[in-house]
Amino acid sequence: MSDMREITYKEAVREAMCEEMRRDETVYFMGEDIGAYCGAFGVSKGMLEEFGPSRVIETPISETAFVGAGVGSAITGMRPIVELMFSDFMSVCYDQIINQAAKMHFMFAGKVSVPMVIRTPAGGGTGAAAQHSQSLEQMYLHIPGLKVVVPSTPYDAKGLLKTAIRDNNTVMFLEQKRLYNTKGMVPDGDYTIPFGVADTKREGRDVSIITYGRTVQMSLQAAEKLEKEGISVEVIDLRTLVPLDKEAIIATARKTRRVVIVHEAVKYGGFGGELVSTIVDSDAFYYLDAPIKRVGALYCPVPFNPVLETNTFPTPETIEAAVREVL
Amino acid sequence: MATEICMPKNGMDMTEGTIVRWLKNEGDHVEKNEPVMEIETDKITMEAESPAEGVLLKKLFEDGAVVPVLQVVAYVGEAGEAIPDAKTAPAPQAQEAPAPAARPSAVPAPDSPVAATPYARKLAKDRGVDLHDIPPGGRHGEIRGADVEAYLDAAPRATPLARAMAAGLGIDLKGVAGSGCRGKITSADLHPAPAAEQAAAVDAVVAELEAVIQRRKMTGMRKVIAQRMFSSHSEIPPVTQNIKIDVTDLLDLREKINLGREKGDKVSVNDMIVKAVAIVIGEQERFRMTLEGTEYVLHSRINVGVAVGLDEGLLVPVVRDVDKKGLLQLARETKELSRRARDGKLTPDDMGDGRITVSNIGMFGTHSFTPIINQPEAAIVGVCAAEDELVLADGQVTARKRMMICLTYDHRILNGTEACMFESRLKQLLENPVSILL
Repeated sequence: MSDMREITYKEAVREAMCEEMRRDETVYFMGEDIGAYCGAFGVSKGMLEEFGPSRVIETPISETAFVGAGVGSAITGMRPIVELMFSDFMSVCYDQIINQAAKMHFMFAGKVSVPMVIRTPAGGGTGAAAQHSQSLEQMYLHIPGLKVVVPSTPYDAKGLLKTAIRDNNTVMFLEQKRLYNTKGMVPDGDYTIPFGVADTKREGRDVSIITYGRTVQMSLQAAEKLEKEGISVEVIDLRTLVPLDKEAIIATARKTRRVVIVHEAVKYGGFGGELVSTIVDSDAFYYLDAPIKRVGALYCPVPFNPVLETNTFPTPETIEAAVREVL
Repeated sequence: MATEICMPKNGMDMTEGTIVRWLKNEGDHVEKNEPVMEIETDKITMEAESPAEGVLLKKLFEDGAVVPVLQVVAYVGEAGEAIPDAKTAPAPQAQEAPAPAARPSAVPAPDSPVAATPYARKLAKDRGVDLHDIPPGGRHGEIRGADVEAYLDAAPRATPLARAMAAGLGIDLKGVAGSGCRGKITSADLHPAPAAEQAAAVDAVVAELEAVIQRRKMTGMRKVIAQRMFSSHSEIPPVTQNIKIDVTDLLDLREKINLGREKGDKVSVNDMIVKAVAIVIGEQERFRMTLEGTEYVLHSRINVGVAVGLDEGLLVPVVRDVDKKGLLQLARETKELSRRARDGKLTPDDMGDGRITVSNIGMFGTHSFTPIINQPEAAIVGVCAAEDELVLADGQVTARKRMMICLTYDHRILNGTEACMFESRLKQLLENPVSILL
């Protein structure tokens, strides 16, 4: 593999897009303000210069129109990467995603496919208030026909985005806007990360934290702190929610017998409930030695006030407290 | 307080038992260790004893009931004594003291639900301990895996039967050395501890049990035979074909050959059959094949195994290169191999690398059987008794000696036609036996 160097999460996303666009001319990029302005978070810096306006297409402010255009071009053989400025805006174009992109391959008997990636910044922690801070992955993973990816590191962001672009299904690629400027070691050239393979971030003996996205780092911080007291915590980063690495989930539950599930999305009705079911539906049930605890956002719209906002989301401290509860 | 009689757990894999019949009625007096019921597991039928002396107060199940192991099935105590209501009544302590029990680990009624984690339940079930006995350590009063482990570490590891016996005999298990798996105390370990008369009582129960069934360990040879027969029978699609052969002339010829020969140096019918079989497999190469994965391996040496029955099993020494040996030499070598087999003096060189086995049980009058192939051979020839039969020949009824030959073959290597060709050629040789002398 090529040389490793330290780059940011958003640079990793950009590298994946550029490398794939150089490799395959059917790949193109479309979204609001992605050209001269380089996107709301600067992810697409330099892409208009390199690929020109026919492959880096700036769209009007109409999610339904340009996601629909993405679906249409995908079924004719293109591989669009569509950026939604905030994942919260997905609700504007649900019909295109849920009733069109997710269903066409099934309803047309496999004769068409929709190899589209919808990239979008998700999550909070930026003081962007209730309409720009949500984690809505639960809405997509409930729709058969969509794959759902939530990378937590620059390395995973690049490798998983390349896999997403090469996948023949519609992939919801949920970037963590609060992680855009975090750094990590990323290979210089081409590599992909398969979907459906969880990453064991840290081996442990006493409790397993199953998590993904922004709360992976928080979980690792909590684990490090608990380690000093001799409490050994395993941290599993799911990386892709559809497909889901059920084997890894069941194995870690059997191993440590105590599980804490952490996600930034609202706890009530969140994906954590499905993960609990995955465990208790399996033979890992008989190995559980404590109730499974979930840590997620409070059941309220994300407040604008930064102090309140911080307190609605999981923190290393609330994760640590949940671990102590199951010990 | 009434003593519980539980469904015993005999062996790790026993999960439930059937009460075949009660040996005592409610109100009957029972001695400690006296059998009170006959139980049946999926393996054996046995009697279960009362852990205490007293009156059989209550039977909770009828004859024929299937009950999970370690569940209470009856109570023994003093006449008129109250027993805990299995379903509804609170624990006896609670009846005496209506105020909430002060002890956090108050013993709940035998059937009341116990708060325990799934892992603690699994552990308790696997190790045969009752969750009711374990003090909970969880913050909500639940029993956790660690609590079960702590309980097991503190209490000597013992089988449920040994626990029940020890309780009944008043023996402290801490003083008993365990001889079971990883030092577990079994009922057998309780013999040295009790006083002589108690030991005698235990012995009496054991003797009674042993009169019903006996268990014998497999010998090494039986183990090997069992394993090889099982593997042959489960891996090979076998077919057995029978053919009836007129051996009148064969028996005449044998008599002529043996005329004037010493008793220990005679040729047997079996030797003649082995020779004929060797001729046929020399001619028909598929009978010399073995199957390795997806390849057939053709062997050229004509080695024939001869099954020798022993008191404690069966051995198959192999006579080498039968095609190159005359009948007399074959007879002598076979005799010597059989003698060594009976004396337990066969070497590994005397066995293996056979192409086919001849198994003869004709001396017992057997009419027909389905021999099992000695892997990796392709077939086995079963030889039955020569029987007197009336046969119609040229319109005349004549008395003849006829014998059944039962060929079992591996249908992955051989087909029916090939087996028929084998049998008809063998029949031709044995009915015209001079040809096997050539």
